[in-house]
Amino acid sequence: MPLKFLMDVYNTKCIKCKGCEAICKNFNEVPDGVFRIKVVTINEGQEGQLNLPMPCLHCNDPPCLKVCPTHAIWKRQEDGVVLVNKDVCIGCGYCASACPFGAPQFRRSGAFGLDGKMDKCSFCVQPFNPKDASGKEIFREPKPRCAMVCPTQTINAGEQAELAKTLRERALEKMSAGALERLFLFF
Amino acid sequence: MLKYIFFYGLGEHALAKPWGLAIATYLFLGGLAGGMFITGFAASFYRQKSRVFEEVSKFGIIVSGIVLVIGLLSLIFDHPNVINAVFNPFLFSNLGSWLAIGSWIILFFLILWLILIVERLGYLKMNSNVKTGIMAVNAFLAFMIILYTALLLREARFVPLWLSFAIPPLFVASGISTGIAICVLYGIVKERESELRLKIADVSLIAFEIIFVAFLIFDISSMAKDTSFPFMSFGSKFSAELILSGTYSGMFLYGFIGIGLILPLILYGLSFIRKTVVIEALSALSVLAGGYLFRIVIIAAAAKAIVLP
Repeated sequence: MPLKFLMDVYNTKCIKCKGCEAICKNFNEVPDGVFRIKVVTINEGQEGQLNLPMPCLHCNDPPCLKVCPTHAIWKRQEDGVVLVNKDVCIGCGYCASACPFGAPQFRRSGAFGLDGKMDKCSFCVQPFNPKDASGKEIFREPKPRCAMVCPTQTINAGEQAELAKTLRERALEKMSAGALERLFLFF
Repeated sequence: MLKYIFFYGLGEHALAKPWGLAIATYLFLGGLAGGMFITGFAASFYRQKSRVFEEVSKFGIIVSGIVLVIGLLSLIFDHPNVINAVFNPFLFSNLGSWLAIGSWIILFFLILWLILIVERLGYLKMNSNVKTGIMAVNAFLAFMIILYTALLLREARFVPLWLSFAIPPLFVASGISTGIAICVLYGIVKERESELRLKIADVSLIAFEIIFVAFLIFDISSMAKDTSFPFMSFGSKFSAELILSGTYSGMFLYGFIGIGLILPLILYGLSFIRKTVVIEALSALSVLAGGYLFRIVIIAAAAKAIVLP
């Protein structure tokens, strides 16, 4: 059951409220200068402007994992979440050069430039199939906080196949609506 | 609509880079150290023929390790946690990553270099054939260090500038060329003269670099046009703009190509006609400056490709 983030790029509904950034910072106690999710604007002030939240997308074949010299980045087998082992990370920054989405983050401070180890979105990670004191499995909805608060449903997170299906349906709706408009225009 | 977006991009976010001047310094000093050792090793075969070759051989071999350590200090200065890997090299366990492979190469190079230094200080007796063998192995490792500084960049698959096929030959030629240049400079300071063979080698490498710089510009410009990988076009276009007409164009065109390639070629040419140590020293200095500027531009102008989720 691979867990994924899927951004609804096609519908472009993000209003840049930055609720995702705020809740991520609070919930995960993310240090200053680090963004586990960041809303970026493409074509600002131009036709086709698009706001896009950019977390780690937990790729199926992560380029950051391949280049990490110390095996600090690893992919959890059970749910496919890409995590970082900070005990082993040496903060070389190689993963940040390899990732096309800018997900690996490094705190910059002081005269020494980069200070610290890599920090990234952990899909608001919890132990896989956590158990309570009595050993009973606790149900946890596989959804990070940013996806829970997103008012426009631009951030979608959860089980990959289900998400793909939802987004495909949304895209089809939009496409068919467009087709109908074009039909009226034609007549 | 997606195609439209691909050709513009993520603005500042795409340029958020963790590597800066310290890494450019590390890449430069890594290449310089490799070049120095190779020059020193090559000069050792001619050391009976002239004092310059003898001095250059000693200088290249002894100082290369120190230069490499300074490069590593530059890396640690910018990325302090890398010090953990210095104390525990076994952290470099992913041998599929060029950073780990390069670190092991550097480690083995420094071990062999230390053995050679200990031998030179007289604390270790060594058969001359064994010594030549160790030097040959270390010269190969030195070559691999220079190559690694380029392959390290090529492994970042979403930076079109680093993906160009011109980058590895340029890094290798520039590394050896700067190594020769600093050795020529040392020969001039120490013996007040230079060796023709070294100058010819440097001129050949500079000519080789000019060919590959032309190829780099052609490559990055053609990637910037519509390609079958539209997401790469944005990064290529941005990089091409940065190095040819944007922020780093002065550094690239006047600094690297002008001062680092054309000027030394003219100065070396002049020194063939009229042998003057000042001209030779100036040409060697300009090669060194050009090599450093080249690494800075390559790191600074590395715009990322745009891949939308």
